[in-house]
Amino acid sequence: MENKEIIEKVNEFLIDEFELEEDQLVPHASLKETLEIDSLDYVDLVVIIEKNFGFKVKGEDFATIKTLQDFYNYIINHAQTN
Amino acid sequence: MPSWKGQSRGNVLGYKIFILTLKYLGLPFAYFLLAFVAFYFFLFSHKSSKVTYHYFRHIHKYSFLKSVWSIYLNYFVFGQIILDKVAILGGLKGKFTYNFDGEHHLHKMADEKTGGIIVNAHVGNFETAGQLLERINTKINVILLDAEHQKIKKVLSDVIVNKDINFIPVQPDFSHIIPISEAMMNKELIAVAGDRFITDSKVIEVDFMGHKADFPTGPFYLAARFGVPVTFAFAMKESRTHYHFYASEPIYVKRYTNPEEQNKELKSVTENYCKEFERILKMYPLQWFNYYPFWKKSKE
Repeated sequence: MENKEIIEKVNEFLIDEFELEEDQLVPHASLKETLEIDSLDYVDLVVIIEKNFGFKVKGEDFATIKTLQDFYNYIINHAQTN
Repeated sequence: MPSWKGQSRGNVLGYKIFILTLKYLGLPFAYFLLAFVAFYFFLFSHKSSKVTYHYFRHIHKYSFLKSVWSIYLNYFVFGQIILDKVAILGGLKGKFTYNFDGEHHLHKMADEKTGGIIVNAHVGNFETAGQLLERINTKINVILLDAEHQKIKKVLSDVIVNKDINFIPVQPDFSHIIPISEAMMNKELIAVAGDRFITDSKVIEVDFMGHKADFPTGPFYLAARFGVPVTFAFAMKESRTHYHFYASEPIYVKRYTNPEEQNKELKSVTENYCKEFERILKMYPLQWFNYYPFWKKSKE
């Protein structure tokens, strides 16, 4: 899967599942503060990542993901190694 | 909005003293000492005594004198429950007797491998029941909300006999979501308190014991998300060495894509939980251990 394709797919489920607007999805947006993704939304994220990208998220990975760009990078890196 | 600020009544040193007393002097002597320890808390823990007074005087409508006396008894019962917890977790459960209402519900969840969420509360002694659940053939994951409690768990972990209990501490970076999700996907049981939340949690306002209070929706949302049943469970102390365990018939929480419909469903399940919680609390008023302002405002 191309990087662009991954980013589009991520944006698509963020819009669909979390009712975010497309213009909110800027790379430097903080997941917690700006996009207001809370702990329950993270439950959905874990399930969606596994379903769409075929890898399991590890607990320690969460500490490194602060912004949307971090999230894109995380998916891109892991999707490519799977 | 009243929310729990991350500090539990009782500290690590207190637990260590209890463990040593139990180990070398036995449970009856530990109970005797407790009468004085409870009196110390009664005299000097103004902050928690104030909210406990509010609970007895304005929620249960006790008289002034009965409310004050109940504050002392509440500390005493809380201490007894900590001692029992250490004793039972340490393998002395033979000294205690139990009866169960609804144990078959938990067996059913385990046998049918549906997984599920056991929603308890900060009343009675649910961790003790968790230890007893070893006869239910499945792993139990206990979610811990508070850092202080986690330190206490570390102390207790030295005496814990049943290793089928897995503690999942809530972390600020949400990394606890991974083991919770895995447990749900593996159809294991999760035990979580439904009466406490940290700041910024998703909550719902419910009428509880005649007054408004906020309750977290997290446990019920998890159940909806993973399609697992929920049971409300409580373990209440009835005498020095007897506990009564209650587990309600499991229910399923519907999942909706529409947030409004989902919230309506979550509110309805939370209200069911509160109804059962109220029933238990009215039977065991002294076993209330939320030492912070729980209700949104009092009708004084």
